[in-house]
Formats: sequence, C-alpha cells, structure tokens
Amino acid sequence: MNKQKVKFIFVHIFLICFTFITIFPVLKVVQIALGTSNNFNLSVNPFPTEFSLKNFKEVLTSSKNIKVEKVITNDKGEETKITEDKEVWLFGRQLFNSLVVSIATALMGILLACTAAYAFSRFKFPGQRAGLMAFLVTQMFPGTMMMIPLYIIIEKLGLLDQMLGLILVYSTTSIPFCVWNLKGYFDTIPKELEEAAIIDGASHFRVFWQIVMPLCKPALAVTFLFSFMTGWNEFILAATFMSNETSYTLPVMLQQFIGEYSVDWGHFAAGALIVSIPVMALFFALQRNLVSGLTAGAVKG
Amino acid sequence: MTRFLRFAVALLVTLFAWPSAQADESQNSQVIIRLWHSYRDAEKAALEATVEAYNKSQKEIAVEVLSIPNEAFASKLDSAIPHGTGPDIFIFAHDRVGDWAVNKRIQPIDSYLKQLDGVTDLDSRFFPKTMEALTFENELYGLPTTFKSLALFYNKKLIDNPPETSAEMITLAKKFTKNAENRFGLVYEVGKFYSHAPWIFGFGGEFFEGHKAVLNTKAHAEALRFMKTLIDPADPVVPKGIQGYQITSLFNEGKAAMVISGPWFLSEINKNVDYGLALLPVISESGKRAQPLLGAEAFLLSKTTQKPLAAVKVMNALTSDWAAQIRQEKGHQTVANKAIYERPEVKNDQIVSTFMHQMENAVPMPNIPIMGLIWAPYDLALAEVINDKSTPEAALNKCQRTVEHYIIAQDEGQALKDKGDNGIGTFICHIAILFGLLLIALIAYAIVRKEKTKKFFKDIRENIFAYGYIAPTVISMGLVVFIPFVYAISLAFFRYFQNDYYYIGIKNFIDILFSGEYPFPDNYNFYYKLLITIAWTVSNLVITVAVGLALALILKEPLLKFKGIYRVLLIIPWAVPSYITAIIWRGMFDQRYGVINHIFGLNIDWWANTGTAFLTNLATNCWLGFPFMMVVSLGALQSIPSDLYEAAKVDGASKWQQFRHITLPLLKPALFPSIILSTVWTFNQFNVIYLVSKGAPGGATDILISEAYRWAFERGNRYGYAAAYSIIIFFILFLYSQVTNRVTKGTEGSGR
Repeated sequence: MNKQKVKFIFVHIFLICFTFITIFPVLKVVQIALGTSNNFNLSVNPFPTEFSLKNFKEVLTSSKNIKVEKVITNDKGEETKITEDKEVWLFGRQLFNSLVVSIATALMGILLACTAAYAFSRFKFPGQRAGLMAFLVTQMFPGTMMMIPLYIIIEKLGLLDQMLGLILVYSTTSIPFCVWNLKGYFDTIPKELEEAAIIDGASHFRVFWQIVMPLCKPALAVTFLFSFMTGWNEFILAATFMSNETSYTLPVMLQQFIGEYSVDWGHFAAGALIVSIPVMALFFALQRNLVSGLTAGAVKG
Repeated sequence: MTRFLRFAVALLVTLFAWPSAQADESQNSQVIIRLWHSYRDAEKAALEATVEAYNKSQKEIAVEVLSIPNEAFASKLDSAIPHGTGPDIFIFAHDRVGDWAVNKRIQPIDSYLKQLDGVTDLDSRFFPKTMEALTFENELYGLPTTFKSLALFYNKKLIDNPPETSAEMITLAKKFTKNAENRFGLVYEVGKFYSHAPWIFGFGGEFFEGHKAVLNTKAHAEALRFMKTLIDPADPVVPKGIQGYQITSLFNEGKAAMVISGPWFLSEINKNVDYGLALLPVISESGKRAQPLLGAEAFLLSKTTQKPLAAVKVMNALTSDWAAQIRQEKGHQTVANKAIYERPEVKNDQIVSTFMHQMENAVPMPNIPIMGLIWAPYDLALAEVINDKSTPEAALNKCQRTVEHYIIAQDEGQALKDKGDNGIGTFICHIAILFGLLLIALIAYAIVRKEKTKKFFKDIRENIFAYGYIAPTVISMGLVVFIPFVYAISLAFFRYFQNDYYYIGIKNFIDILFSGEYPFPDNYNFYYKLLITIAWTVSNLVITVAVGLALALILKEPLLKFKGIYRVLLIIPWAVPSYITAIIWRGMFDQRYGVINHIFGLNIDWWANTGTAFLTNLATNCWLGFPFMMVVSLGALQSIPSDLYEAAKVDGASKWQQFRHITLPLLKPALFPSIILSTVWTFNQFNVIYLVSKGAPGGATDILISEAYRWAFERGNRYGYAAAYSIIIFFILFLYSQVTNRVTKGTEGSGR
C-alpha cells in the first residue's frame, strides 16, 4: 500500500508539471487580458501581475450607432419616414449571431450527418464504399483554393450577408468527420434491435428516430461539439460573406483587434478568452460523452 | 427527441425568414455609397465622424461604412468586387494600386473628377508625393487620406539631441546599450525589408530600373554591411530578431533610447514617456539621408461600382480639408492635406510636423505590380546576412535571381495575353474527348460484364431507401464542396494573368513535378517540400499518439484522485482558438524574451535554422493535437474488458507484457480512424506553419499546403500553379488512405 502511495505521489507530480506546461500559453493570454496596457508583457512569469477588468469590460460593452427607419403617424394619419440613430450593443449582437450560427450549424450538421451515416452503416448499396471514401477525400483538398468558387455559389443562392449562408457552409464542411464518427458508432448497435422493430411494423424512419438515435447520444454529443466549434471559431468566411458590423460573428470581432501595423493585445486576449468560454463549457459538459462518443464506434469488441 | 426536432425545425424556419441585413433602399431617393476600410480604434472613430458629418451636410448621398479585419480585407475585396457585391469605394495602402489596376479591381478617377464642380486643384490640396503614389501609368486611381513612413523616436530623458548623422546615431546608441541588461540604444525590426529600406536609399540604391529588378548592386550590399555593423555581436547597438510588440514594451520601459517606427507607434507609447521625433539620419558614408518607404493610404474606386460619379464625389468630400482636420485631431493621422500643417496647433506640434518633414524625405513605395514580388526574397536575404549564413553579395545575388524568376513567370503570362486566345475552346475540346472516352469505356464494360451490370441496377433499385437517406447530405456537399472542388481542379490547367485565365494544358503539373525552375535542395522544390511535409506529418503523429496514449493510461488508473480536474485542464489547448495560442507559442520561442530559451538557459535564434524552426512548429502543433488523441485513447481504453487483464495477471504477465499483448492490439482498431483523419489534418495544417515559423528560414519549413498558398497570394497570383499543387496534395493523401485501408484490412482480416 505504501509503495502504491509513493507511486501516486510521483504520478501527481508528473501530472501537475505536465498540466502546467499545457496551460502555460493560456495563462499568458490571461495575463495579457488582465493587464492595463495594450503591450505584450515580456516577462517569463505567466501569472497575472495586474488584475484589471478594463479590457474585458471594453470588449463586452462595445456598441455602435446604427440608422433605424421609423414611421411616424401624425394626427391627420399621414405617415412620414424618418431615420434616427440608435445605439445597439454590438457585442451582444455578435454574440447572438455566433450562437445562432453555431447552434444551427451543429443541428443541421447532426441532421445531415446522422441520416447519411445511418445509410452507410445499415445498407449495402452500390456506391456505399465509394461514397464514404468521397467524404473522407473532401478533407484532403486544401480549403484556400475553394474560397472564390464558394463565394460565387453563396452569392448566386442569394445568401450573402445572411446567417443561413454561413450555416450552410459550416455545417457542410463539418459533415465528413461527423459522418465517419457516427457511422462507426451506428455499426456497434446490433442490427437485431431494428429488425425486431420492423417485424413489429415500425417504419424505417421510425426505427431510426426512436430506436437508433436515443442509443447514440454520446456520438451525437461529439458531433454537436465538432460542428459547433466549426461555426464558432471560423472568421475568414464570416468576414467575407457578411457585410455589416452587426451581422459579424465573434471571431471577426476578435480579428478586428489585429491591425495592419499593430495589434491591440489587451483587447485581443480578453476577447479570445471570452470567445473560448462557451466552447470550454461545452467541453466540460460533454466530457463523459466525448470519451465514449469518439471511439466506442470504432471498437467493435 | 421529438421536442428536439421541433426546436430544430423552428430554428431553421426563423433563419429562412430572417430579414436581410440590408435595409430596404428602394423608396429612398438617396444614393447609397458603400465604403469599406480596415481601420480600428481612433482612426476608425475619426473616419466614422467624417462620414457622419458628411451624411448630415447633404441629402442626396448617404455613405455606409463597414470595417473589416485587416486579415480578411484583401481577400474579401478580391471575392466581392468581381461579382459587383463589393464596396463603391474603399481605403487601402497605395502599394497595391498597380496590381489592382491591371487585375481590374479598381479604376482611374480622372474622368469623374472632371465632371464634378468645384474640385480644386488637387496638387495644391495634397502633398505631391502622395499623389505620385496613387498614379499608375499616368492615371490617377484615388485620393490620398494619410501617409505613413518610418521616423526616429527618441526618449527625451535619455537623449538630449537627436542624431543628425548615422555616425552620431551609433555613438549615441553605444553609450546607452547594455546588452546584458537588455538595454539598447536603438531598436527597430532589423530583419524586415520595410525597416531596412531607408539604409538602401541612404546608400543610393534603387529597386527597379524600368521593368527590371536591380537588387544586387553595390549600394544594396553597402546597406547590408551597414546594418551588420549595427548588430555586430561584439558591440551591438541594435538587438536582432526583435518584433513590433517588443519594441513598444522596450520603449515604454525606458530600455530603448531610440526607436525607428511609424505613426502607428504613437498610440502605443505610454503617457508617462517623454519622447521626441526626428528625421532618420544622414548616412555618414554616403552623405545622403536615409529615406524610408512612403506609404499613402487612399480612397480607391471599385471597378464594378454602379455609381462611380457619386462615389468620387464622396471621395472628394472625405479628403477635403475639413475632413482631414477631423482625422488629424481625432484619429491622430498624418493626413495628406497640405493645409492642415499650416494650422498653428499642428505647426507647433513637433511630432506631426516632423512626420511631415520625414515624408518629404521619403520615397513613395513603387506601385508597379512586380513590387509585391521582392518582399519575401529580400527578407530572406536579410535573414541570411544577419545569421551569418551568407555574405551580403551572395545573399543579394540569390535574391535578385529569385525575383528575376518571378518576373519571367509574369512575362510568360504577358505573352499569353498578347497572343489574345485564352484557349477555352481547346479546353472544352479536351474535356469532351476525355468524357467521350470514359463513356465508351463504361458502355463497353457494361456490355462485356452483363451480369454484373444487371446486378448493379438491381441493387440500386432495392436500396432506394439508402439513397433517400444520403440525398440531403449529398446535395449540400455537392453545392458547397464538390462544385468548388471541380472549379479548383480545372484551374490547375490554366494560367492566371491580370484577371484572365489561359489554358496551358498540364504545364503547371510538369513545372512542379519535374521542378524545372527549382532543382532539388532548393526550398521551392516540390520533392523537398514533400520530404518536409512527410517528416512533419509523421513526427506530429508519433508524438501526439504517444503523449495522448501515455496520459490516457495514467488517467485511466481507478485509484488516482483528481482525475476529472486533470482531464479538464488537459483539454484546454483544444478548446481555445488556435489563432491566438499559436501567436503565444511564437512568443515563447523568442530568442531574447521567450520562456523556452529562458528556462533551458539557451540563446537560440529558433527561426534561423531549418531544424530548430521545424521544432517550433512541431511543438505548437503537438500541443494543439495531443488532447484529441488523449480523449480518443481514453475512450478506447475504457472499452477493453478488465477481465482480460485479470486473466493475464493470473497467468503472471508483467505490466509491460499486458500492455504489449492486450492493450496495444485492442487499441489499434479504435485508434486507426482517428489516426487517418489526424494524418490528413496535419498534412494540411496551414495555420501553425503560417503563424509560428512563417516558413522561416526562407520557406524551408513551409509544407506543401502553405507553399500552395504562397504561390497563389505572395508570388504573383499564380492561382493555376497553386491549384495544381493542391491537386497533387490531394492525390498523395488519396493514395495514402487507399494504402492504409488495404493494410488495415489485411492485418485484421475482419474487413467489412
């Protein structure tokens, strides 16, 4: 027993060291974010030396005046249109955009990936192997060359400057990983369950929806997380497709702190931490699912 | 589950019904002019103030402003302008003027200016140098807002009188420099072409003679030697390898007596620092003044605007003296309007008037398209000389050769353009022949293998369900992935030149695979790049899998406490956006201030050598990648039945034997899909290379994907060449996945 204890102490020491190294760069971000100047702290020490929430406050409370059209009816019932300035909470708008885009991306990603993965797992049809391969293959083509054609397509669909355009692109780019992961998971679910249900008269769709889906919650959680992160962290496409500061997503806001000649480090770091919080929260909430959802599929025992 | 579905549908419906962000403009008789820029902070506020004032002053035109992150600005313009969805006017530095003029992004404004009333003589409104910057092939392409150039900042507490000559500058700097205490007489970004340029002009050098680059002249070599004396390791007055943000910190902490920087530096200096500004010194050896490059920012007119006249009117208004005054006062800009500098409060401002004098002693950055080609090669020459890899002459000769190569490639494009035929007809012909042959082969196959074909169609009919399931995914993938994919593939057979594509068959592939331009050990050689990429991928995978698996094995231990906390903290690298942590990692490898040199007591310039630069990328990417492998391994370990280990224990197997004979074999199938995916991702990992080593030294650590990017955007817009690179990357990965697929199926014998 004593030997065991000594061993554990060493394990803890190792883990503490390793964890410290792991979070070191993040500590540096925290330090810059909590500082008062916009300078980069050159010291080796990663721990905060100042505790100012100025940067956080300024990032969170950014606002912008926008023009709003208002129709005013006078006593005689005549309508006149006036434009007036209204201050909007820019950060709030952008947070809202980011949430809507990422959640919708995740839901759409799940919807699309689930159906496809189910077909790949349950049916043997011509093009099955090739199709699955084709999904993987899309990951192999560098994205930088696709920008201009993608822009043309989104423009032709009339989806420029609309969240739906971003959602469509993000959810589709996250599909391949999701399909692969889900297919592996579906493979572990015994076919007999569904066959029994079909004999009892359930439709294919009902079997899928009421039997298979509830069984693969962990894999769904992983799929959700991945698609969510695709939408949450991306900025080049968001900055290119959206042409209104109030329709930007948070990563675009973050990039605006990086100028051509100089970087506003304090705000950038504070913004980056704020942006990471929801993802970390999701990670922690889905931790258990993450472990089983990512791999259980691949282990067929 | 049903509730969830209802919620999803409701969400989608609201999204479709979401009002377009643009307000309805039709009933409004006002002309809307869209203005894009990438200013931030005070400059942004000042610009918005001028726009607001303008919008209030008249009723016919309303200006809408959009600020775009600098990083995405150029690519957004490149996407939007050709499709008419771009701005009417935008603000950009003038050095892209020539490039954008020939690539049809912007248009001359002279003819519109003539139609406007009351446009006063522009030459008396703006400084002539800023107008010169905006003139390309005798046509004016915009109106200047500001100019930016380097000048000499000095800390008044440490320096009484700023130096007039370079010899004085060095003497002054030597007095203050204490290398051991990290105190320096003079600080600037030594390795950057932009910061080095003043010395080149100070020694009488030029970049171009007509269309020809002249980078290996005596003046260039003398400038390099001068720079070398500044960083002389025995007696340095300038620290090498310093980056912009470090300069700010040093100056604010009083550890830098003099700094060479531009107007953007003003907003970064702490209020308690008493500083002055002086002209760059006269070079003692040549008797000429060191002249920085002058950049003018300007309103440019989009090529596809529908309302050019109104747009130019807005430009004219927003560059008039009243607007310039707002930008000067509110945005602290060094504006291009002469009248502002006559105002007493500006005249007495030592800083602003010095910048104006420096501007008169500056050289407008050449705006010809080939200017963009010399930045990277010149940075490389600087790095080689700074790190004693090469003599000034040899480095410059190499730089000159590289730039000549690029220019020859541009001339090839010009030749294609002069021929007048873009070869689309031939292209369609070739495609038709290819498809015809394919079709014939298919029909022949169907006839020969009749039974198989019949079964094929029968299978399709029987599995019609399955196709229904995959249809939505296939449609959206087709739209968003496959169409762009096909587009990119066809690009590879073309040569892009000045907004047109010319069909050149498989020349791009031949150039890459047979490496005519760049023989083997060269950094641009395809096979060298392939070797680096493979080394990169393999080393990343080995390390992330090993670290991930080791951690998973430790964290699996049932009796271990605080497992949850460790697991949560260890996942953090995965959760924080990599574009900020990558920048932090770059800072950690800094020679002087980086924590890594500090802890290990090293003094390594990590980006001077291929090996060490490669390590910086590797460390960053492993840090980013191990949490994924750890989570995957944890999951896989959990699924191994514990009775197997118990049985092994009973049989007296050691820990190692258990790991070797139970854990590993059972882990393999679980880890394999993740490893394949991870390989593909690492192979195409662009961000880390781009942000951490930036390809240094001289592109030696660029992998295939970042190389493709550079050909497209940094070496003269060779989109076709870059597309060919992408296709080759694609085939390599495709081959890899096929082979691994076979191999795993073979070893497991349980393929589905």
